[in-house]
Amino acid sequence: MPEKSDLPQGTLDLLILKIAALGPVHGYAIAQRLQQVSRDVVQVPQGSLYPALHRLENRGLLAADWKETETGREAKFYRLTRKGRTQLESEAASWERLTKAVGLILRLAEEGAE
Amino acid sequence: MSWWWRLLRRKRVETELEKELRFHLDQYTADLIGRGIDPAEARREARLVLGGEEQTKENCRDARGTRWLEDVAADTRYALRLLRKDRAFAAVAIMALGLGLAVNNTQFTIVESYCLRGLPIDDAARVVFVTMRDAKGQDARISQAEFEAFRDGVTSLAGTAAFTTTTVAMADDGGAAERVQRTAMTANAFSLVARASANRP
Repeated sequence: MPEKSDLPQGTLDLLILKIAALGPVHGYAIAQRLQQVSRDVVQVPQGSLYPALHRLENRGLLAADWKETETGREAKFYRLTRKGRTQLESEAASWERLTKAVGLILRLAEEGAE
Repeated sequence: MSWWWRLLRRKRVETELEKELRFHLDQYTADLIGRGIDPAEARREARLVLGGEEQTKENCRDARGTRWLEDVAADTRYALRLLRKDRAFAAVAIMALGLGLAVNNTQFTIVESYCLRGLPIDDAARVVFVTMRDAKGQDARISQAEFEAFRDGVTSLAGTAAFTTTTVAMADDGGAAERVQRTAMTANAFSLVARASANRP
């Protein structure tokens, strides 16, 4: 099993918005997909996932409907709102900028150590 | 769903939260069983891994943004229940509050009419008070002759009235004497104040 990493503050919201952008999805599937896509590095406990979902719904970034799953059970499906899409785009861009900048700094530090 | 809607449908929101977390638990259990784990063991492990369901619910309620209102509502219900339980205390508390309100209200009415609102003169800015000071800067009495000279000499005022306040002893037949404040004023005083009200532009 690969080592788990703690998500930096605020990253979970960004990841949830990204998964919801792919189509309506319930909480359990979000956790599953995050784990699969990240090859088990990202594991979101229920205790952080659902408060985050409710917070995003409260801020109008996600909307939710109760629908039936393939197994015939009712589940709460989250989808991205227009406001959520805008938020996702700006947060994804700022994440890219930040990671690129952190990478630059880390490489610089190694050259300087020689 | 807007926040006030969620507040109105609090019971439904709570049921849905319960249902949502239950779905997660059941789904996880089913997955574990699918991986070949014994059903009873799977259910036990799912509960263990997810854990702290009450804490999760609390955090979800906080995320809803209506928490403070729900808390106020809960506190109010609690207070009413306590008051109903201890009727004697409730009666005393309500009476004390009522008395306090009444005293406050009376005081405010008095202060408002005498100190804040002042005399009912429409054009109070046109009414001036003229007095005389002695060499030490203390109020000095104006004699009848001085007042008449001032009244006849001044041209910038529409009219002039005078008053004087003295303390006298009063008693009716057989009763004990009492000290009272007496104010005497010139006969035109009321009509002058009335003119300040009537002459509004």
